[in-house]
Formats: sequence, structure tokens, C-alpha cells
Amino acid sequence: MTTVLVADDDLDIRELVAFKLAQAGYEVRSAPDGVAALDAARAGGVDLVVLDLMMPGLSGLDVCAELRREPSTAELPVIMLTARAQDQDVATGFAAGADDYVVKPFSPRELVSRVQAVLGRARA
Amino acid sequence: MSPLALVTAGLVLVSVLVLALAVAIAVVRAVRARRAARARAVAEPLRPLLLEVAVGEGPEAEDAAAALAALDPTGWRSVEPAVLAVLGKVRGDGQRLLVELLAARGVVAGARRDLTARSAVRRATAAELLGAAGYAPAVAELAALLRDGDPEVRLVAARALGRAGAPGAVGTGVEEAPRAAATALLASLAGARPAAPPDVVARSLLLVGTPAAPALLAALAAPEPLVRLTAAEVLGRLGATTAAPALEDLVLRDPVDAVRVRSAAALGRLGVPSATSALRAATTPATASAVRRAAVRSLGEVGDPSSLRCLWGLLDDADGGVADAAAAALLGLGAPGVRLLAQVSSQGASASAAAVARAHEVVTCAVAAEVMPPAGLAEVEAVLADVLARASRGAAAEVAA
Amino acid sequence: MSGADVLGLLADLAGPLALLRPEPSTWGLFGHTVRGTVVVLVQLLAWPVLLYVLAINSSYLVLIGLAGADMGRYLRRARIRGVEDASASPLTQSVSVVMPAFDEEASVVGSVSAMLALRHPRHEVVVVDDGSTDATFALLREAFDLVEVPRRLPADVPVRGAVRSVHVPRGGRSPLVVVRKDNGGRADAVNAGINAARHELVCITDADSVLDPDALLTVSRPFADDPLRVVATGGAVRAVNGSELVGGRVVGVRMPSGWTARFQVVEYLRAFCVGRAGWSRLQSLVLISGAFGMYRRDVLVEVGGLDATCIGEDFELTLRLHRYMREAGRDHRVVFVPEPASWTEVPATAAVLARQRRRWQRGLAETLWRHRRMVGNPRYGRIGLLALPYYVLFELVAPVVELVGVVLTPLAVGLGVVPWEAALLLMALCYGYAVVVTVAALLVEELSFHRSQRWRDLGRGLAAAVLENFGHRQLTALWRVQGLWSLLRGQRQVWGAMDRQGLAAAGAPSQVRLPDTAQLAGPVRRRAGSEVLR
Repeated sequence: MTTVLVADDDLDIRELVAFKLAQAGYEVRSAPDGVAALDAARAGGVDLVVLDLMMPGLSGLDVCAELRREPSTAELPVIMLTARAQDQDVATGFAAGADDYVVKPFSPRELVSRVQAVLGRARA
Repeated sequence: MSPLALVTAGLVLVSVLVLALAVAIAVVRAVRARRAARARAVAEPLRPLLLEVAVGEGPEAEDAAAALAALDPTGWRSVEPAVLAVLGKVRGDGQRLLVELLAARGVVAGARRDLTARSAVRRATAAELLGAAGYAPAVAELAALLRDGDPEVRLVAARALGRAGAPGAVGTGVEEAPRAAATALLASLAGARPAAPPDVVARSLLLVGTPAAPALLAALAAPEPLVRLTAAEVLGRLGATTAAPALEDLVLRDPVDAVRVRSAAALGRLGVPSATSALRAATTPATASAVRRAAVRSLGEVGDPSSLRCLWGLLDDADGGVADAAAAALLGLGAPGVRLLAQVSSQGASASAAAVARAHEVVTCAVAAEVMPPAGLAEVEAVLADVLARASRGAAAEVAA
Repeated sequence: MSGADVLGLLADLAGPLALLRPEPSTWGLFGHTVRGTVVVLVQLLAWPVLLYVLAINSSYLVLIGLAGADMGRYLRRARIRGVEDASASPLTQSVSVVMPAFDEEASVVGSVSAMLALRHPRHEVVVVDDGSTDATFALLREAFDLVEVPRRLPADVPVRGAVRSVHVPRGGRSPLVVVRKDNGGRADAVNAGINAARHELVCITDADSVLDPDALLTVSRPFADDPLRVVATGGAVRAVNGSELVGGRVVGVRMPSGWTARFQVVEYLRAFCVGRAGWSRLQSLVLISGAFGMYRRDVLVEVGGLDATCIGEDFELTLRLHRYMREAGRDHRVVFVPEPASWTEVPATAAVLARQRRRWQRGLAETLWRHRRMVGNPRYGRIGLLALPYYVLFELVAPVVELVGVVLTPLAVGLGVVPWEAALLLMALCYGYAVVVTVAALLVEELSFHRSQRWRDLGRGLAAAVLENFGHRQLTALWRVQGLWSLLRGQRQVWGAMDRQGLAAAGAPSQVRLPDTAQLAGPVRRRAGSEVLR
């Protein structure tokens, strides 16, 4: 079964994403902040991470860059969740190694299709 | 009464006060904890229903929404805060279902009524709710709220208009909503003092997006500088290239420097090469410092090769900020800019000492911090190799002599 | 209690209290015998001291009431504040966070990461290594992969300690700048940071402060709401000791284990959270603490940055801003944002606390002296007529009055000048009133932000409110008087050294000339840690 890790400090978003992805047939783990997300990703068994850009402690960008730096997680697909749809922020997200991004407020259906697309690309 | 009893009486008085306050604290805390626990107990079982509605797909979501709509008043009261919290976090069908649910429970109608409530907090809360719901039919009422007497209410109204006027908002009258919202938002900036903070208005205009472009274009000719400034900023961020000629005009001719600065920045963001000549013209020493800096930065962003010479000439500008910006812009221009900088810094191109120092600083900073793109690095190396070769030729010539 | 009882009580009260009435016929006793002197002193001072104590506590109560109203207003609007949206606005002003660091190897990497991760669309972190002698810089370099760049900093505000080098993360990974300079004290380090700061707002904080995730957004909010007038904002400062931290953020608020720290938790709530909200409500906030304040960079540059020659540099800066704007005839506002907060580590031992309080009091006195022209001056509006006279009357003089009371009372009882019952009654009333004030502040906190959740900690807080009156308060008064004393002594010595120092007081715009007393405080303050002046 494919496992997705959801990291967001907003409980509502975490539950919504988890609920939707579970509905779409994924196994979901969640983390309330960047540090927990990094720990969960390092522990292994995760196929994709949905990462909030602005989290206290370690931001999504930091987590993403950190994942890319480590060989074990360098290839792990990452989708950023961001409230800032401005081009430069999206660009920094991609520069940090994100594979795709979803703008908040998010459309659950769009999120699922992006997860599927990114996973498909990663497997290809 | 003995003096000892007096002491006791005094202490009793104070102790009673302290105790009363302490008990008040404890009661406040206990009541809050009780209420939260009770609300959780009622809301917890309903949580899956709410999530089902919010992710909104298929008959399950419709059923869940129907179940929530049929809740008894107690159950609804406990779940309503959670519904409002989720609102504004999802788009699409989930959002539509949530708004329909709120409408069915009378929350939307209540909020529209509250827009004219006596209490400012209630008006603002109602506006916030309609905004989070992206409720397009309320755009006209929200626009009217921009003239409210309370600054906080106006602020919330401005924010709510962005959501209610955004494409994808729900309800009837959606087609008209974006343009009405954009016009009202821009109008709120007119007048001696803006009705709402300009940064909030700008964000809302961005949310409205492309449908706002005609109103924004018209606003570039508004008499109030703040309106022109905000319109320029938002047009730049929306990538509205059709606005470029009007923005060029503002950069060259607007009487207010802040407007010229924003227009120059917007042109840089649009990245239209045709704007280069206007931006170049704005870098002449007669222009205000802030305008020059913005124009120089934007020349770097537009990246047209025709600005090379102009930027080069600014490297030793008397205004340190302009010179800094010119060096950074050349760096941003990519290979040709870096080549020029490297040549200046190795004194291969004729330049003043100040220009040499400036070019040297920016190139060495970029190389040291490893932010220089590979193409730029290649240029620097090529120039250095050239310099070395010339130096050794010179030395050989000396030896020969 | 019946009416007659009350009357009887009052009549009985009049007995012992009558002893305290001034009696000019006995004043000739002064200086003849110890007892005679004490008699005269008691008769002269008892009533003024008593009234003073009543007045000061009543003023606190008024401030707490004002703060309660202000926080109520703030909280009712919590849901409509829209922090999320501000974080996404293209016009949200960018912020440079300036963190001075001196020998902070224990915490510096963690706090810098936490600062970088604060919610804000465009903020950079400027760390100024003020000539650390430990591994502060080495740790930063390793953690953030720093490389030295030959960047020259503009000299917008004067800096005394020479800037040695500027470092940025390799490849521009995060918006961080580390400036290394020769040791010059906290204020000087902040000034270097202001020069290196590239954004329009500058947030001054400490290397050991922990900011709540939304702190930058909310504290910069007033600048956007009122862009023409707001020049500075201050955030609440709370004591972090004992609390639970995860990833550089406070997740569980706990009471610290030692009483010294517990007293300060309560004190901070009373003075820095609740008290300042009261002042802000009166539009007369004159103190933004160095642990968490935000300023417009252009205004900081205009006034010449922090004054590195002044001990109470936070207070001095806020006052100078007020003065400068008033004298330039510019309408301005300084705003307090009660939540979210900055968390700071308070001294856990009496020795460190004593040093801190001496410094604070000295800084307060020095700054008030420097700006004495503003005190009571209608030209400076509410600041001159309300806030500063209050500070002189109740902050500057308070420890002296309290110490007089503490010394005189046992003396008078011991020598039989005053019956012990009367003394005890008066003491109990005075300190009892103080406890009422503190518990009222705790109630405002409980009604508003209630950051502390545990019942056990509530008990400890209430206990601290009572117990601080047995020793802690008196010691604090003593330390503060010592601070004043050191200033007076120092001032006399320094007059000669004045010319040599050349009075290079960093660009105070209003020609305030004052002996450079800070030079006498021994070597420049070593630690750039949390210094929050009351």
C-alpha cells in the first residue's frame, strides 16, 4: 500500500488531507510540525510527503532541503502546500526540491490528482 | 476591640479580596475547561461527517451534509465552530457543500443580517464568515461595508471581498462579483485616508485575479496616488502585460515618486523588453533616488541586452544604492552581465576606481556564496584567464626588452 | 459587622495611627538620640510612605483595568484578524530580524533556525556576533554552511566595534546574514545589525529569545494598518523558564521550579504583559523591551540607532523616538501587541537577578536624566505629561520609598516608637494590596490568553503572588537602590573623563549632553542576553 506523510501545523488541514487521501486508497501518516515530519520521513516506509510551506520550528522549505540532502530520502517525492501563490515563492519551493505544489485553500480533488501524478512520475 | 483584632480585621479584608480574585480565576478556568470538554464530546462523533462534507465528493458527501443539516440545535451548536474553522481551508465542491450547509442552517442569512448589526465585532465577524465562505452574492453588501465607521470592520470587509469576488466563489451572481469587488476595493483606497490598509486591498485584488484587470488598468489613471500605486503593484503581480505601456507612462511622468517606484517594479515583474527604454530613462541622475534604484533593479529583471551599457555606466554612481543595484542587476542579467562585471573588476574595461571596487565586490560575493550560475562562473574564469594571459605577455615583453 | 462595629473599628484604628501624625514639637529630638531621630523620621515619613504605597498600587490597578479592557477588545477580534492572509499579501512589509549574540554557543543554532522558520513571507535574519570568545560563530558556520563574502555594510548608524566580516549561507539557502564584529556591547551589535538589515522593518530581539510562530506577522501588522504614523511596535515578553519547547517554539507553558524564577514569571505578567497593554491603551507606551521590538528602519537610521553609551538602551531608544518625532512635529504612534509573545529566559539565581535589576534601575535613571527636559513638558503630549512623570514618581523613586519603609518599620517597633500591632497592620495592608494587584493581573491573563494550562501552576502562581512579598520584593528594592547609588557615585567620578570620551553618544539628534556614565560601569556588558527594562 502506498503511504503518504502529511505535515501541517493546522489540525484541520491535516485531517482533511488525511481523510481525502485515505478515501483515495492511500495509507496516511501525519506530523504536526517540521521536526516530526523529518523524523517520520527518515524512519522510512513513506512514499510521498505533503508538506506545508510555513510551519513553525522547521519550515516546509527546510524540511524539503533536508530530505534532499540525505541519500535515503533524496528521491522522496514532495508536494508543497502553500498559502502564497506568488511566483517567487513557488520558485523557491521548486528550488528547495519540491515536485509540485498545491495552493491553500486547497481543492481536495486537485490534491489527490497531483499526488497520483507525482507518484506516477516517481515510479516511471 | 483590641489592636490585635484590628490587625486581624485588616488582614481579613485583604485576604477576602485576594481569595475572591483567586476563586474567580479558578472558576474561569474550570468553566472554560468544562465547556471545551463538552463541546468536544458532542462534536467528536460528528467530525467524520464534517470531513466528509469538506472534501466533498459523491453521494457520501451529500448525505453527510444532509445529516449535519438535520442536527438538533445542541448538536449543531457544538459542531458549528468546527464547520466555520474548516470553511476557507478548502475549495471546490467541499466549499460549495459547506456553504450550502451553512445556508440551510440559516448561518449565511444570519451573517448577512449581522452585516448591519450595531456591534462592530458582530459586523466584522459576519463579513469574515461570508468572505471565508467565498459567498459571491454578498459582494455588494461587503462593498458597502468598506464605508463602515469602524476601521476594523472595513479591514475585514476588504479581506472578505477578495474571497467573495474570487473566481470559484459560490452562489448566484458569480459572473458580476469579481468586477464589482475589484471596483469597490480600488475605490476604498481613494479619499484622504484609505478606508482599508493598502496591503489588505492589494492581496484581495490579487485573489480576484484577472477579472480585476480592466478596473486596475483604469485605476492607473486615478487622481489618488495610493490607487495608482496599488493598481500598478497588482497588475505587475498578475502578469498583465497589456498594462505595460500605461506603466511605462507612470514611470516616466507620475508626479509621485512612490507611484513611479511601484510602476518600475511592476514592469520588472512583467518582464516585457519594450519597457527597457522607459526604465533606462528613469535611471538618469535627475530622477529621485528611490525611482532610480527600482528602475535599475527592474532592468536587471527584464534582462534585455540593451541595458548593459546603461547599467555599466551606473556602477560608479554617486548614489551608493543605485550603484549597488546596478551591480546586482548586471549579475542578474546572466552571462553577458557577469562578463562585463568581471572585465570591469579586472580593469579590462575602462572604468573608475569606484566602479572597479563595486564590480569586484558583487562578483566575489556571488562566487564566495556560490550563488553564481555556472554560465556566469565560466565567464568569470574566461575573463580571469584572459587577464592572466595578458599579464604574462606583458611580463614576457618586459623580459625581452 | 454592624455599623457600630465599623465605627468602633475606625475609632480604635485612629489610636495607634495617631502616633504617626507629624508632631512638630518633637522635631527637636532629631539627631539627639537614636530613638529621638527615629521618632522624628517616623512622624515625618509614615504618612507620605503610606499614601505613596496606596497610590502606586492603585495606579497598577488602574493600568490592569485598562489592559483588561484592551485585551478584551483584542480577543473579541481574534477571529477576524486574518494573520494567514497577511502572510500572503504582496505588500506585507519585509522584516529584518536582528539578533545580537555574545557567547551563545549553547543556544545560538537553535534560535537562529527558529527565527528563520517564523511565519512571514519575506524576512531575513541578521545575527551579529559581538566578538564572542566561544564557539558561537563556528557552530553557526557549520550549521548553516556559511561562507565569508566581501560585502561592505553601509554606515547608516554609527558603530563603535569594527565589523570584521560578513557571512552568508552557501548557495543562498536561507535568508541569513552573520556579521562578526569586535565586542562593543549589545547596543553596538544591534546597530551593526541595523546597518546590515536590508528590509524596511527591523525587529530587534535576543539570541536567547523564543518567538511565537506568528509573532513577526502580528507585531508588524500595526505598520500596515497605519503606515504613516506607526514607527515602532512592541510585543509582550514572558518568562520561558520551565516551559516545554519543541523545535524552537513554546508548546507547554509551565512554572519554573525555583522560586526566584517563579516570582519573575508573575512579575513579568504584571509588568510586561498586562502593564504595558495598559500604557498602550493610554497611547503613552514609552518602553519597548529589547527582547522583542519592531521599528521602521528609516526612522531608526534618522535617530541614529541605539545609544551604545547608555545602559537602558531599549528605554532610551523608545524615548528618543518619541522625542524626535515630537520635535520634528510628526504625528506618530508606538503600539503594544499583547499576543503572541516573545519568551525569554529570566535569571534563576538571586546573584544574577541582582545584577540585572541594578542595571535596569540604573538604565532607567540614566535615561530619565538624559531626557529630563521631556518630563512634565506639555510639548511632548501624554508622554511628557503622563507617562514620564509616572515613571519618575513610581518607577524611579519606588525602591527608595520601599526601602525606607522596610528599614524604618522594624527600627521604630524595636525602639518602641510605634506599637507592633500598628506596624503589622500597616505592613499587612500595604503588601496585601500588592497581592491584590498581582492576583488581578493573573485574572486578566486567565480571562485573556491563559497560556498556562495546568492547575498546579495556577496554585504556584498564586503562591508566588503572596510569597514574593516576603523577601523578594524587599531584596529587589535593595538592588534597585544599589543601581541608583552606583549611578550617583559613577556620575561624580566621570565628570573629569567627559572630554576624553568626546561624548560620541551615537547621534542623539536632540543635543542631549550628559556625562558618559556608561563608561564607568566597568567593561562593556559582556553578555548580549535578554535585557528587558521595566
